[in-house]
Amino acid sequence: MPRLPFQGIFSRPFRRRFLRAVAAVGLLNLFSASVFAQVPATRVEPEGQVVIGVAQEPTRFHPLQRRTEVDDAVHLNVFSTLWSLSPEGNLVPDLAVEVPSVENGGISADGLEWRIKLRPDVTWHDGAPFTAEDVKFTIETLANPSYPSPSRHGHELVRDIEVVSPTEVRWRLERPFAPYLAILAWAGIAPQHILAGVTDPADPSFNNSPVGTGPFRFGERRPGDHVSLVANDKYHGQGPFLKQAVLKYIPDQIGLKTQFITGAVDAVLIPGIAPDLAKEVERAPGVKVHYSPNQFVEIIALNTQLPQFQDPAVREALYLALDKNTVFNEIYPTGTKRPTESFLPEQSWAYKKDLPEHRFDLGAARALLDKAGWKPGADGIREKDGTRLAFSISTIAGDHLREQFQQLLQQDWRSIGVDLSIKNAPSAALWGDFWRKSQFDSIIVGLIVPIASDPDPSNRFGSWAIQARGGTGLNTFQYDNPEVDRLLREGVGTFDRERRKQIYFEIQDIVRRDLPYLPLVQGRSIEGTKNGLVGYQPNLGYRVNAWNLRDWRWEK
Amino acid sequence: MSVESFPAASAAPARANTTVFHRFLRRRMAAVGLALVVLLVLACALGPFLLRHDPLTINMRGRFLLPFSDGHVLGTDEMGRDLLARILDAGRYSLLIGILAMSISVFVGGFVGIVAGFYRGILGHGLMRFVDGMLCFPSIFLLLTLAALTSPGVVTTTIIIGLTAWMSVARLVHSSVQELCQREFIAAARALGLRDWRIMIGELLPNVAAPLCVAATLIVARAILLESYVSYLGYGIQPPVASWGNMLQKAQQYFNSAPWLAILPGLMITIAVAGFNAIGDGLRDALNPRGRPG
Amino acid sequence: MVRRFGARLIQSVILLWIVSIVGFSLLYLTPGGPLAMFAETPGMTQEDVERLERQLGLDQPAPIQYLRWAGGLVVGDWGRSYRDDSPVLEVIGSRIGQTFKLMLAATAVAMSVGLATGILGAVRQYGRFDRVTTILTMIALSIPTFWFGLLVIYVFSQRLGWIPPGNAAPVGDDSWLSALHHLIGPALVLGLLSTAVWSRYMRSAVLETLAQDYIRTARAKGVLRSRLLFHHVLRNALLPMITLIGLELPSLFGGALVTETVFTWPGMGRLFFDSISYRDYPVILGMLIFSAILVISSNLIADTLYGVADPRLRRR
Repeated sequence: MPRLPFQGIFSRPFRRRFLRAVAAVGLLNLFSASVFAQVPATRVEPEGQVVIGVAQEPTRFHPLQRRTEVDDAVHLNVFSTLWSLSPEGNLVPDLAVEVPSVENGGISADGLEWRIKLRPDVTWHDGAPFTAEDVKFTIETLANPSYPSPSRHGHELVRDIEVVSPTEVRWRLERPFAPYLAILAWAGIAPQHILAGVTDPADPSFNNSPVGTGPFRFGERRPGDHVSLVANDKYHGQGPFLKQAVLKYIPDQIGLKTQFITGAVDAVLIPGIAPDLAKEVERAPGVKVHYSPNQFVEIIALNTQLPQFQDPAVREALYLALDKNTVFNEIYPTGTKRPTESFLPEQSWAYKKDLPEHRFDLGAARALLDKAGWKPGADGIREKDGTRLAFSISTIAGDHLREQFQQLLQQDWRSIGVDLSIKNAPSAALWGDFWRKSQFDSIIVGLIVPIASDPDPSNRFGSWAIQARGGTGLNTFQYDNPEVDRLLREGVGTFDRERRKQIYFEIQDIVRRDLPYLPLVQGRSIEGTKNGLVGYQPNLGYRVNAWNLRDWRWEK
Repeated sequence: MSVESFPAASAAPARANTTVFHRFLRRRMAAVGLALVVLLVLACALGPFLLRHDPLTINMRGRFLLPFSDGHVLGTDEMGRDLLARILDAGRYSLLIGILAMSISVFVGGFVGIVAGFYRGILGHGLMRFVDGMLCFPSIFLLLTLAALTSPGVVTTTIIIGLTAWMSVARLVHSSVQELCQREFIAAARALGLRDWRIMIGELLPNVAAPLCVAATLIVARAILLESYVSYLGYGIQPPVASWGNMLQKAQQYFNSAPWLAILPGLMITIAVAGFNAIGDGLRDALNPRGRPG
Repeated sequence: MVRRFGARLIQSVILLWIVSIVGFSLLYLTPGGPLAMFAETPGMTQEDVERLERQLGLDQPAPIQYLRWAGGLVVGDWGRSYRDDSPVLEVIGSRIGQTFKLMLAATAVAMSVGLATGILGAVRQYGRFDRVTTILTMIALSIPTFWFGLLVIYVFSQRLGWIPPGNAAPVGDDSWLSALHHLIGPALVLGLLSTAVWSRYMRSAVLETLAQDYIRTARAKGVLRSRLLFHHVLRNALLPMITLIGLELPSLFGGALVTETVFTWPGMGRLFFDSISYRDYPVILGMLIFSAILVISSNLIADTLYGVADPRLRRR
């Protein structure tokens, strides 16, 4: 294929949001034109406070270092990014005047030269002006291999960052890398004037009192209890409307629910309300329950290199003997999860709707195993060539709904002659080598397959991504199918959306047939807000739905 | 509660001509405790055979049944399993873990105590300093650290509890052995040229048996309690195996809608632990000829 | 006296050394690690995880990691938390206040109720009050703390609404009244076990004193019962209670861990639990060492105090 200049930008796994944004170039221009108009003529005096209950403790706020999802709730409100992601999936300029594109000249036609114009009117929470130096410092630090940045992905390609003026910065990419736009939407800009002088990256002083340009200033952290954010009255965008936002740490989901119902917290976010308690919360007066889809797809991952699982008949029989109906009617009440056959969230453009639908048929499962030569032994457990159909299933210890699910499975699978044992472990033990190096038999996990919303699943199904065999990636199923490998390579090598769609449809068909894992559901975050609290809006682009606290306020 | 946590000193006159068992039964608390424990053990051992419900059979359409409904005397749990069958089955594990963990503690503690008491030199000293070191950690800290960092399950939980409870036994045995070594019969045994291990097993062990029995009973109580803590915090026995502790953990999710799910296992723990504690107290007083009043 | 103290001090230091080795080996031998939770973070690659492991020094061999950590321990640098990079001592310091508050309140409950019931029970041995308290203390010694806590929350918080279901204080309300209100539940639950222990100790101590010859003599001489009790009996019976505070400390500390979990109290217990699930090794180790120091020094102090208070020991 001839290499067209414009296509350079698409030469890598890419974010559908950007594609959409590029497609709507006019829209982008509109955004950039209206950016200054966003600031209302008369600033609304912030008032009131909101207490958000979370079951994990936010502890890390350094924008250049590793964070968990709950830390993002602070990070996204204290720091600003060059551009951010709207719930519709568009890139919206924030510190930058406009999102660079080939059309507006921000990105050169070959996708290598980037030129970013910055807003002149932004100040740090300590009063210092925000300049291009801050952007340069942030990207250089993130790319520095000796700095403990969480991910150098994308930043490592940046060369020759040049501060043209306080409001303009330029750089060159080593090779065209389109997802970099989306990656920058997650990269909070750090203050160069404070951090440039810090030699020890583990110095906690900035972490404990971060200074950003976001709608909220960092208030205080009471360890083990809460973090408070205070309205930044010099914020360059719209809002905030709240005087204070508090992230209250309540260590367990039950306590979180109780405190929400009794009114001690105004909203429940991470990890939300347990599905089996959602109805109870809905009945409580004065609160709203939101069922917001997230990108997690829950599956039973199978370690396909296990002798039992090498036989495709076994995997199919196990799927036939999976009583999804009972699971979704009894364990997860209606509406809290959606059954799925794919590894992609249904919001993805590559999601295939008409995959063969799962059916629960114990008879068919038995017949299949009989035909494949798995004969019941003396204890009723099937075996073939000396291999018993016995294996273990793992998940995070203490996840009570998954535990209930496991026990149901145990009973159902026992009735087709499978001996399932339960072997759960705490998450820190589970996600180490046990998961990454495929030391499990089978495991219930929630996966996010798209990387930055691009549907390319190479990291999960490519035979080169098996860590147990020395690869790099998360193909923990040890799934090895030359046909899929070929399609994956083709999928990242082409820039034609329709062609890619066909490829990923085909992969979904093959994977659905091969069943390296048993698909279960796409997840939903069940979150709650008090009546009268407005502004809550789910956003698949972020890991936490507190991404927009600047819009939150109490109804008058 | 540690083994030596009660002062056993008094001036009440000894009743020399009553047997230990007699003295034991005379204490009402001890007798009641023994009765409770026997009853509990019998119920857990035999009960599951007599009930028509299996503790593991799931019925998702009959969850959270109230007591006395549908042939379930205590109702059903969050998976529609018969609660009575489950409580009795859980009792087997809880009691078994208590007793096995005690055996580990008594074995390790007794061994270390006798060896350290018999060989006074560097070995004995070193062993006892190690015991002191282990005793510095509050047991629940040690237990949780161990439990959280290994993969949870029946066997690991038992071993871990056993390994966090042996130190007090070692101390107790050590001091008794030191005292015994001063006595003439040990000197006589040495003079006769008996091998060290024969002195330790043949002479010392029988003489520390009495305090060891008391300690053992109290450790069973403690081990049951510790198991329930670890399982309650999610690092102990994992489903589908039930123990009283993990039943409680699962039940607290439904404390508002089905409180009996949480109340019953807790009651069982309390009864079992109180029973063993009462027996231990009674035994100590009965074995100690000076006897504590009260 | 001074020599005795000095010897004990040296012993304590050796103990701490043993404790540090035991604690470190425990953590080193376990699977998983503080970065395991980032394995499924979108955008974080395997290379990123391995680079961070190197930067945290987690790829070093065990003896080197131990020496590095233990060396810091000696000079007061206990390492930094993986969770928020703060120095471990600072992390512990930020929580210890809440836990001490809870322990203090629980001890106050335990001492007042426990001593009173113990004395009353002993004075009328085998009376009705004595029988009831004997049974109650046995139950209190046997009841699982967390279960009792759940019951208290269920009855007094959810059904009756008298006390809050948890937390040390609502956000933004720093008044002492609110703090006290939140303290009631956890203090009662944590204090229960100690109350039983105090009560039993006090009862047998009083009984023992009452059986002494000089008390019998005083009685025979017709000294008033109340005067006898307060002047002679209690003075002697209270002496061994000094050591009890020291002996009870580890179990009180451990009990606080469980109580804090039930009442979502932001103290050491919660810190320990969070650190364990995050594999925050420096903080877990720090807390193990800290609690060991607490236990060792309280034993040391109890011993010394007892030596000072009891002239018989001083002469030895």
